[in-house]
Amino acid sequence: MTQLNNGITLFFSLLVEAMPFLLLGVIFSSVLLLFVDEQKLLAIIPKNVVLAALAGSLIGFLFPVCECGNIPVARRLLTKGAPTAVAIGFLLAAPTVNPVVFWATWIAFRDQPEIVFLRVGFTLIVAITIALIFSAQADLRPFLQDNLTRMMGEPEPVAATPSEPEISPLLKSGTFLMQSPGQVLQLDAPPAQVLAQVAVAPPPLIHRLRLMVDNMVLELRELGAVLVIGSAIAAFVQVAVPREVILGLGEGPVSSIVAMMALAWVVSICSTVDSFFALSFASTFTSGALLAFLVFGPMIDLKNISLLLTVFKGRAIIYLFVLAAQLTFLLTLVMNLYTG
Amino acid sequence: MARRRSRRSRNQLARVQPLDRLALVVMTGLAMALGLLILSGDHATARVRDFTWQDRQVGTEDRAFLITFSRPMDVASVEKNLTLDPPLPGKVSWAGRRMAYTLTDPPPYGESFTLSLSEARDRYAARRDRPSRFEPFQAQFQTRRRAFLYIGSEGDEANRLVLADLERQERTILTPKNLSVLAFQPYPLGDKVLFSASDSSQGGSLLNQQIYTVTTGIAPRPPVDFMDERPPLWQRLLPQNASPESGETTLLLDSRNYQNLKFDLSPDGQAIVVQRVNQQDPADFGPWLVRAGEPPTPIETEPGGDFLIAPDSQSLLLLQGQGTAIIDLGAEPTRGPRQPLDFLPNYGRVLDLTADGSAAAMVNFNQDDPEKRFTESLFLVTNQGREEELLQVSGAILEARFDPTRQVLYVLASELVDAPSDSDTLQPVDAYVEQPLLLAITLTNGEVSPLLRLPLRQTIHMSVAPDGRSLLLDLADQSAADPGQKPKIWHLPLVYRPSSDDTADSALDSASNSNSSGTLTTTLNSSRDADADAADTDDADSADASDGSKNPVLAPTVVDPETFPFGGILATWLP
Repeated sequence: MTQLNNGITLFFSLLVEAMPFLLLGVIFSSVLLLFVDEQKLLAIIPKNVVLAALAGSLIGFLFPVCECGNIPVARRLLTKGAPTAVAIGFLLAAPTVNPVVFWATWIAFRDQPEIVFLRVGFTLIVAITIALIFSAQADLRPFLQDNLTRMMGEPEPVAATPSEPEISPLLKSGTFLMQSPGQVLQLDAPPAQVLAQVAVAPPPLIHRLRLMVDNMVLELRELGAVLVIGSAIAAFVQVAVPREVILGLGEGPVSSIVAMMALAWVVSICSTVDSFFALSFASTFTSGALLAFLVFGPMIDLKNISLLLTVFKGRAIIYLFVLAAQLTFLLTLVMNLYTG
Repeated sequence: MARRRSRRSRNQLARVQPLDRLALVVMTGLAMALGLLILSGDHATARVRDFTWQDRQVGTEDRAFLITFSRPMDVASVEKNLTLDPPLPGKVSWAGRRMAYTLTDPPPYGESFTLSLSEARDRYAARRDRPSRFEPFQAQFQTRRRAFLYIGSEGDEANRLVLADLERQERTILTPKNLSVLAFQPYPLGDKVLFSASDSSQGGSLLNQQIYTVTTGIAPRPPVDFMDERPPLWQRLLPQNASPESGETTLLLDSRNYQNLKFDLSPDGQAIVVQRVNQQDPADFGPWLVRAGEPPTPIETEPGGDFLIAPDSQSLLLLQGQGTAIIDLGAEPTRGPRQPLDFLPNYGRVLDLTADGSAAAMVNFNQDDPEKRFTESLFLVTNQGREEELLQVSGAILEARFDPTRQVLYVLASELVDAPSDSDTLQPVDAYVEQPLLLAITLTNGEVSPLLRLPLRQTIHMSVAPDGRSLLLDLADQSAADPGQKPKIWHLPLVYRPSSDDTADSALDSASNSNSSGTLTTTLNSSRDADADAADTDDADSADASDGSKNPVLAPTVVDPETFPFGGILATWLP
């Protein structure tokens, strides 16, 4: 009975903590959809892959969202045709590299300022590395969920020669409106997205705001439901495997990192507050183990895996998860074993 | 047809993509790197990350330091190897990687200490019982200078504020010649002094005192309070200015429209309360609050007399009518005068408060009790509402100061005694004089130990050293019969001994043979054929003597009083 109580408490606390940020993410995503012209967006993103990954990692400074709020924004970036490096960089780094989290970490670890800077530094290294690995794939669609690929439309013809016959959008399933020759509008996409494609004459502001609210409700209903399931799973796992068991895994220089990473994955705590959670371990764990918690937790945790599943297929999530874990482990292990 | 196409596209998607290949290669590479790294073993060196008192100047209020290690340490190995030179007894406590050392006694002033930790093991190594690397640590810290301030009386120093440094054996005149200093109070870190003075160059009379601050030339380096917000990084990286100039005078409050009468500086140095009276309208009279960067504002309350800011710097103890009102110094009330937080009706004077604000020494003039009329009583009033009479004297209670470090109250009081036969003047048979005495009251058991019998007809001022190891006493002749007699400053080193019945019995000795105004007499050595007036203290003493033998209470005694070769008044230790 106590376990049930604990589970329900954990479930609601995760949900209450994450929901405002998901809402924030959905708002940003809707703003991106209706108020940002993708042509302009693509024009300002650097062509160099490394720079694009860095730019994506730093978008968090514009959209201070935690790891649940960044998924709708990353999804929107992908559908808007942003390069993979930008979207992945944003997905992994934005929860940490943003002013709110930076400030919260600074407040918590004032007496260890290196934690604050290393957290940002390690996150950028991990995010950019993974973003580069993902940019090896020119067309990310095989790794994305089907409904997303449908929304994305055709990728930019990167390698295709102009002489190659253009594949008609009509070769996809869906309802289309044939306009002037060559212009095809997909009708069964959400209304806001249909409207965004008709960019010839921007509708009046009041109209666009109403569409924005519509889109927000739509996305929130979709992602909110997923978040509820994610939180329920995370709460269940925490009851089944108590924190003490995970922390008891190890207090050595190597095992402490593993324990803190496992803890970060299971507790699924929001990146805006996780530094205060980590602070309670500051006196018993090494700086490396704390950093592992602070870097890995915001990237991938039990709760947001369900949200990630709305964007990526399982294979891509495994790559994200394993690579993020290995890179974090490597960086913090070097720190633990060589600097103390 | 459609089915075939969808199957083909699924095959195409399931095909090994460039990302699959690259991800698998990187993952394998990283796994191998991790394996090698783990096999290479632990190369880290444990070290001390932070020591809160490193190169700092420590005062009485600093009771504990923290040492933060880079990784969790083996507690026993650290405690065994940690040394302090000269030793300072204290208690060790741990919270993860942090060690706190709380001093049992406050450190003596004017000394330099070295903390060293030559070897220690981290917890990982201790658990597996293997040696570990530790970077030996050594750091210094100092206690504050032993220095005091006084208003000079002769030569160049006359009426000027002087800083006397006992360590360097030097004196520095702080204020300019044209200012006649009347009163002063050092700021909590000793870097500045608040003083009131009249400007003789502007024809200032004593009624035209203005309030100034002056720098002492001491650069305080207090330990960083680990609970406080740290200063921004750029401030910490800026070079600390080595030693500021002494004697930089700043006018804080002029006397253009209001006369400044008396002032008090709050213990945190943030607020000043000044008693002011309108030059044109003497009915416009009362305390004003001056805060840094804000214009002075009158504290609207009932008219009052003497006042004192409480140790929390948030409230003012103001004598109003027949008692003492406690007035909040916080934010301005939205309307109406400030209502007292509390009112203590019996006490006509507050002499001092303990540093933590838990108790006050107050005087009851015994107006309500016919049997006690013409006597004064010293009471200890705690914030728990306990009121304990410590002393009753037939003369007056002049001054009382809590020892900042121990449960001791030093009192200057006087007893009425027969006037000594003076060869120069004729006196009636029943002439009395007030014999001033210096007493120490141990607060744990209420025991009164007389320390010194002081010369007659003197204005006496007392100051307790911040480390509780000595007293300053300055004596100025009231009668001024002999203009050549300069005021003297006495330094009274204190030694704490377990109290015994001997000292208690000799309480309040008579002063039959102390008519010379230049000497101090220790009551311990004096004869006891006296008419002990304050017999009421004896009861308490005999009752407490048995307690004292079980758990000896340390009572102070004065050893080797010495006088300085210079004279002055209001000698006050720097905090």
